Amino acid sequence: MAPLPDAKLMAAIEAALYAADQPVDPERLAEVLAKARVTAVADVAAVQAACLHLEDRLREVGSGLQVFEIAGGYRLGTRPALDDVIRVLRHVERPSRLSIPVLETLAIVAYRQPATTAEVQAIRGRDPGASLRRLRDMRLVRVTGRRRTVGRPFTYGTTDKFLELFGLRDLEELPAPEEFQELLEA
Amino acid sequence: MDSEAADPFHVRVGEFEGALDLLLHLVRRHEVPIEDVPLAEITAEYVQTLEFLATIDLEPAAEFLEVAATLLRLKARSLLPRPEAPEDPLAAAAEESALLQQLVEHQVVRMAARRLRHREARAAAVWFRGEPEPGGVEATEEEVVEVDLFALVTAFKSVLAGLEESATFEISREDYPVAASRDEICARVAGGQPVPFLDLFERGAPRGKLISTFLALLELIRSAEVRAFQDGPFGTILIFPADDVPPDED
Repeated sequence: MAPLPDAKLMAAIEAALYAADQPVDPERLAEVLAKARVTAVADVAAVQAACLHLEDRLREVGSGLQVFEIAGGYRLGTRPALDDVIRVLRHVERPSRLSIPVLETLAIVAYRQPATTAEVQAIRGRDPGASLRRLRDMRLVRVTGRRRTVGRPFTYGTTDKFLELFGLRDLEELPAPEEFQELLEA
Repeated sequence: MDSEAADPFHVRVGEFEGALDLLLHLVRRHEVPIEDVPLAEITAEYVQTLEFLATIDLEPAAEFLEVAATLLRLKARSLLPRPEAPEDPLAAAAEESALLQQLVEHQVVRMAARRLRHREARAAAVWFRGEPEPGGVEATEEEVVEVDLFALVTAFKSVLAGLEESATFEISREDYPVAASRDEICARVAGGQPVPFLDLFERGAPRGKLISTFLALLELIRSAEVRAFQDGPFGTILIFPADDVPPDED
């Protein structure tokens, strides 16, 4: 059991996550804190423990902020229940959402990556070209390599931006395909 | 291709719903697990739907015909007496189970996509510093389902069915440009209130006008300018402007 993280460390982490404009992974956070002499050495485990503790404390005091684990890093964001406040503040009404065909293509890439266009098409039953282009333009999907088969087709995979948009820590957090199977049989 | 140039709003079905979606739509109406649906029995419904699409100027992509061909082959086999023509029953069974397998996989993907949409909405309620483009959806408790193309086609079929008697002469669709119908729908939906699907189709309007309105609606849905939802599986279909939609089913 690691000792309780001290208040100074948690305050430093809170400040760093506030100032960062993207998720900060624990290794980088540990390195930063050591360089800034908040900690004596870069201690990743201590930083991770402190982040968890910081989240507990924010919840206890009823803070409007929350520590999120997204795309392998930590990020300070607002609590979902306060959505309305920020939308009014930022004059935002319009939800920008992906269409179902685009989401279907994205789901296949997410589950089957690395996947070629032909593989996506085989499951969807139709040409995913337009959806794939849209997803690449939005930087949710990228080319990850080429298959060593005839025609050397490109393979596609999801990006960190995909994880961010869907609030996922990593790909493991996607619901397992077996869950859908159970839903179908229920 | 020529017709496409003449009418920029020409809707091709394959662009937003595929042959497997149509098959799923028909299979679901049988209310049994996909694996238990004898596909040969759906052939007639499937072919009828394709024919109907053609009468309202919707152009199914080639894949629709491929699936139709497979269904017809399965049906022909199920009707033929087999003993003296043992045309490899294993191959026939394999073809049917391959299509069923594809259908099951397709349904899993549809669910995965809807799950992603739900996650997207949840994630969009969280805000970060300096984040420019947000998301978020209204939160009400009503159970609503986003309508797929073939549910709309089925609803539109009933609109036209009520018309056959009174139609004395045919007016070509050219008299009712899809672009004009499109503007009309936009204007109606812009009021902020969702518009019931049936209200879009004026009673006693000529067939050409009705078809033009329907094609315009499909075009608007495809370009994500409006969205169609249904109160429960067989409820009223409502058309919403895209920026004011009810929450997702999950």
